[in-house]
Amino acid sequence: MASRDIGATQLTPPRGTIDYPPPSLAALSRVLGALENVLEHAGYPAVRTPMFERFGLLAMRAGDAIRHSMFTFTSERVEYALRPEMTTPIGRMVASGLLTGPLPRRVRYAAPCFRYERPGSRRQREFTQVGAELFDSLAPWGDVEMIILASECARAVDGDRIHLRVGDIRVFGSQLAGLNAEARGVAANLLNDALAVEARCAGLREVERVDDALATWLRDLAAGVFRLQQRVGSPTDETIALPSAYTPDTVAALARELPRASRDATRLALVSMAGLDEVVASRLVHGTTIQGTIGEVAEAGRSLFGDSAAEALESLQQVCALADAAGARNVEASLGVARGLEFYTGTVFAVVVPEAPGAPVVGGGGRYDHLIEELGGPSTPAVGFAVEVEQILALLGHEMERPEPATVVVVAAEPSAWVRAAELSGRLRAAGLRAPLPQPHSPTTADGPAIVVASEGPYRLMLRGETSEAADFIALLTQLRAVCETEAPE
Amino acid sequence: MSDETIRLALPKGSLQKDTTRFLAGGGIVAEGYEDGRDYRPKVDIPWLEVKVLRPQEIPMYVSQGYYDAGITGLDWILETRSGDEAEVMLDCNYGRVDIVTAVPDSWEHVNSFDDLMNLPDEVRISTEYINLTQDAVLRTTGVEPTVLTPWYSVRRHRYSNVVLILSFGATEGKPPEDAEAVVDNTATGSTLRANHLKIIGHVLSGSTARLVANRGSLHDPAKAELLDQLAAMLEQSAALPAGEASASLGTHLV
Repeated sequence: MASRDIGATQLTPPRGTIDYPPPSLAALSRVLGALENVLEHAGYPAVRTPMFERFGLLAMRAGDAIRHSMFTFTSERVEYALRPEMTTPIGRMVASGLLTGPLPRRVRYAAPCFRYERPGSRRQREFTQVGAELFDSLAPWGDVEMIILASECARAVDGDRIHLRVGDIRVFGSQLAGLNAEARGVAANLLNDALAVEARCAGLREVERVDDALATWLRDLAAGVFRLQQRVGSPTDETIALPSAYTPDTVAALARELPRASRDATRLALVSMAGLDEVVASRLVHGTTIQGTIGEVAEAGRSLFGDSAAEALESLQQVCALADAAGARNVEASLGVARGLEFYTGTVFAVVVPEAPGAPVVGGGGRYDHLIEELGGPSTPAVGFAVEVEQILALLGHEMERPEPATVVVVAAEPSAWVRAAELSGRLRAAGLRAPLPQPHSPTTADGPAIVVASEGPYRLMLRGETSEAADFIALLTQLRAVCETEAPE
Repeated sequence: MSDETIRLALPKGSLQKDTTRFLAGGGIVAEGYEDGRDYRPKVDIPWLEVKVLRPQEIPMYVSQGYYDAGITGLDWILETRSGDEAEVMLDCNYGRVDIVTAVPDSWEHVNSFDDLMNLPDEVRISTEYINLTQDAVLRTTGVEPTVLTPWYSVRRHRYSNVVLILSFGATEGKPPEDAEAVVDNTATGSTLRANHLKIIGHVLSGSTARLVANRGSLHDPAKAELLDQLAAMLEQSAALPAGEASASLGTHLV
């Protein structure tokens, strides 16, 4: 076979995926570790499920946003998809009776998931979800547990920038009760899109710098609103005009303009495409903008939706009050959190970074009491949440990129000393220290402490560059001495 | 000369008559090929074995090495993405067709592929050329369309308003009820016009019949010698030297 010119395109990872060299992976692992540590200490043991599942299972309760983003393939006449999320696979485990033990059952996961994203999207097509699921726990206690855990996870990776916005899906759901399944799906899509525009534009009004990724992302957002305007026949003088250049000023102008245009077009579309009454459509669209303290939101919700949403608003108040009393931080209420209208059944929340450009949603969760039964298992109230590690990492920037240094470097002074140096490094590793095997031709200096080993004679300790704090260093020296004084095994 | 033979696949269908003439111009008589009565025509060249296959199938057979060479349209070489393993040796310069996008001729507001892609509602495109059309949509919109075939499906309704539906023929009859547009081959455009369709863009211009060879066979010295000999014989038959007749992917998409 002739040799091939592989070409530059073959050397880049597939679109929407990332290679992680050691410092980047160390950063990712730190975030993963911090999140998993919170969940481990809260009594959530880890589970693992297959990387791919039957498409029908994953699509059963997924909204269009997930159903239409799966990577599918067929083998032995069965259509499969790479998992786009972890709740359904874990739900399958529960429905099949594999998850046993005392109630309520708690599990956590840290797993790669896969979704098609438009080119230029800030989300990766391969991303890592860390999350928790709690089964057989009733509202409001399970809901509050998830909010507290999500809050603790946010604190574990970042001080104050990550916030939780809590809503109740039944507020909007009660307004769609009269629709058939198809119309309800159309309305859910329209509202989810409108909510995304509201949330994202809220974070774009004071952008300091516009990079290509942000411009592409905003162009997509605006194009979506434009298409909706075209579909519902919005007047020409009201249609969105895309800027010729994306600067902080034009982005701010677009961020002001888009929500208004989106609200108008969504209201018309809810009537013409989903068959909603005009008054109800207007209320729903107004509802997407309501957020603040739980008191403000409950009052605004009652005045907008009246008795039809009273129960949901009462539940939302109770959940928020308990979470606040239990110390959950940065929790706000929002009727505009209505993610997963087809999936969730009560409390829903989004994990957001309100101050970052585009106010990215880095995670979310909520109550889904019907899933396990619909998968064929017993009726099982359930609640869960997940965050996306890559999105959190993007927020934290390079802060987490600290290489993991060797605790101690063993240097072979000459090639003939290699066996002796290698044997010492093995004893150091066995003692729990990070000590790479020596390379005879590597430099004879190291940033941290190094032990120089000659063919014979005593080991020499070499100190260069920065060292640990004194207390750590003394402990290290004590360990080193203990290991070095140990006779090599015969 | 060794005992090596070359297995050559010839196209069945619309290219058959011109291929017979093209082979004859190179001194090759394939007995029973033109009238379609024999799938294994006899040829009077001892090192050449011939079999008749559908032009859609030939690139795959050649790229897999089941045949050393074949004559088929450039459209199917590109559609089957066989270019990595099947190398074009000669532009035979006949069977010229364009692969075009067409919409109902009453659509005054849609006059380009861009116009079609920017329609606010769902755009269903019926086509036998799923891959070429998918490439064109991707290059224009940057977003993967939904693709519906019996063998695989891609669901992207949420991201793209374009839906490609595999056509098993009679493509030009699909609009307006069952598709908003077609991507189809045409030599003169008359069939499209007769079905009240207008051409709004070219996905591939100037596709002609090509002699393709398996790359593995070309790296086998004995086979390569015979393939070169075959190409030399047929080159005399092509009205123009290889490569001079141009075909290009729709420039409006680049």
